[in-house]
Amino acid sequence: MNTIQIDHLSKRYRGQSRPALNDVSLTISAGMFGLLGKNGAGKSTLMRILTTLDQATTGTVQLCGIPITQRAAVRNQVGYLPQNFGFYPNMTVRDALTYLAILAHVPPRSQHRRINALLAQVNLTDQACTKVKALSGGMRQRLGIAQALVNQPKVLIVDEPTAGLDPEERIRFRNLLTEFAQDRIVLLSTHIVSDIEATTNRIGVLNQGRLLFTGTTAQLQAQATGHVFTRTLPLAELSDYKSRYEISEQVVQGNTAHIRFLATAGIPGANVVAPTLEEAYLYLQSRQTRQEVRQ
Amino acid sequence: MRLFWLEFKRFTTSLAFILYTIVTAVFILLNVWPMIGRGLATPPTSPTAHYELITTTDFHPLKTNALDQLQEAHTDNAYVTYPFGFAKRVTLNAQVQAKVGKLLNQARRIDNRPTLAKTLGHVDQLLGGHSDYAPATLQRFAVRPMTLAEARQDHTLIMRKDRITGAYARLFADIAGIIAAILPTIVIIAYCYIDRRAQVMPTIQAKPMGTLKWLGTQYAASVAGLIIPVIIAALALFGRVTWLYPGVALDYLAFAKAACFWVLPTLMVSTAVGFLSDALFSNFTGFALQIGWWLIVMTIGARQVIGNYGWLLIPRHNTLHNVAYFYAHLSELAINRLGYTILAITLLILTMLLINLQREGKYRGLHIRPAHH
Repeated sequence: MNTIQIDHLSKRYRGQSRPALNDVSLTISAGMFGLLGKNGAGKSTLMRILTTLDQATTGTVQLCGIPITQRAAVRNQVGYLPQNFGFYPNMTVRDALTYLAILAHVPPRSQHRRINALLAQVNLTDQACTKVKALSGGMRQRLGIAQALVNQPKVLIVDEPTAGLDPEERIRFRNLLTEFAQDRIVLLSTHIVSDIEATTNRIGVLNQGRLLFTGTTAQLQAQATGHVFTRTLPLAELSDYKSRYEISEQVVQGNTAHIRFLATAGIPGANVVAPTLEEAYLYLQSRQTRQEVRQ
Repeated sequence: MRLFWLEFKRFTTSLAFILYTIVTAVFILLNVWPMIGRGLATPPTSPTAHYELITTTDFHPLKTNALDQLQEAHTDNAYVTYPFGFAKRVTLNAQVQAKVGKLLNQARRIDNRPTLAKTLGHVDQLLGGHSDYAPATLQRFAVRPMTLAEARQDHTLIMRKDRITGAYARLFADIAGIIAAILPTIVIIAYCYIDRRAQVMPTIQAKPMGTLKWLGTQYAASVAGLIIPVIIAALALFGRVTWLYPGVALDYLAFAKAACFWVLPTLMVSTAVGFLSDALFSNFTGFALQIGWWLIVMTIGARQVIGNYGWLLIPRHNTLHNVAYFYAHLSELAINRLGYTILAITLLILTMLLINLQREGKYRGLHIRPAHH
């Protein structure tokens, strides 16, 4: 029963014409699962529903066999790192973890040992007595992941955790997530494709509240195969290409430009190349947009 | 208990708390400290001395004071009423002025309280209501200086029942109540605002602990912190009293009783208003509401400061004397304090319900979102 089962989930906010989530069905089993989508796609709404902080308009969710409506039971199973994690600025790191451990019903006898272990895991032992307000962005996110794990949850939900981190911290954070995914479900929501690439091959793609794709990264890339091209062209022609195709990469050298771009059919003079995950994601989004325009 | 301690530590190390502590302690000490120097142990002996004011049940001072004030207002055609506690100047046209003049002359000939109350009640109606002449507020005029005999009785009560410290503790509670009714709201709203800016709530709300336990602990820790400067001031004042009255049998618990049973309910209410306001508006709107309430209470209380309890959030007893009034109205004060304690708990429960709605995604700001199932 170590799964998240989402069935026909919709969420509509009053006063908004478009639903934040539109008939989303998804099954997530143990390990890391990446939820990809641009800002406003509905990722945070889904995270908030899964963490019981918001209510679905229609549809059902079961978390490890527990209906989401049983809030207290669900909260016992879930660790949550919200987008823009913050905590009481004047508290020390250790006090913050102790505070949240109490709120997470960690038995008093286990608190000290568990907090020490978590501090070591996220490499914050030396900052245990540092105030939260004095932590760097990366350290704060590591504190965030430590607090999410304090009740040893079966499900860890992390919402845009690497936004604003420098490359070194981002890599360190991804590695942490991968470690924690070994014995639980980790649901990583992000709009940064490289976060997914570096951590999991199981993904779902959300766009405008709809689940466009669910499967492996290889399956997503397979959908875009034959639709990604590379070409070297005079710089003067670049703007024309930009208006006709979605450019995924461009390197300008002198008067020539080396580009990778997406197109629905073959282009004379352009070479077909294997799509990257980012290009496959862009292809999926643009295909969806085309379909909507046709409809 | 560990959660309480963490909350208490967090609260008492905040800048808002430090500023509050300084302002509150200084305010109380500046207002009460000079009064401690007034000796209470010496019995009154002079038949010609001008003794302190007391609230009386006598008809004569009530009539004299009321009619003197009405005469002055009538002469200047400048009356004052207090709609919602705020003073309002009233000027009458010639016809109504003449009616008031006639009622004033009638009142001069009255020799019993019910008839006077009825006549002055007509004056109140002509003024548009909410004046001092309304039957419900007429008692405020029943104030006069003590006679020697009354001063002696007052002294006896101070020595035997108050055991000196009780008299000072009442004055301390009167002054402390003024600040305890307003500053905690401001401190709590500012404190919650800082937490909100730190984006703490999603992390806390996703944890399994119930809102009642979490909010109750936070509230208890805040109240425990907010009472600290009141206790500091009480200890300082008590120290001075013991130094001024060596060898005298004092009530060593008088200041503690005043802090816990008189000041604390006020402080509990203003703290609960702070939490409720934050949950309700998520901004500083509560400041304005509490300041409004405080101004109304202060204005109503200011019309009779030497013994005025009723349903005031800040019960007034701004004198070391009028002891007989205090003991005669002790049950009224006790009901008042109990009522405000219940109000504070009610406000806290309301806050808890709002936070529960927030935790379920049903409430954001002032717009309640019904569940769609």
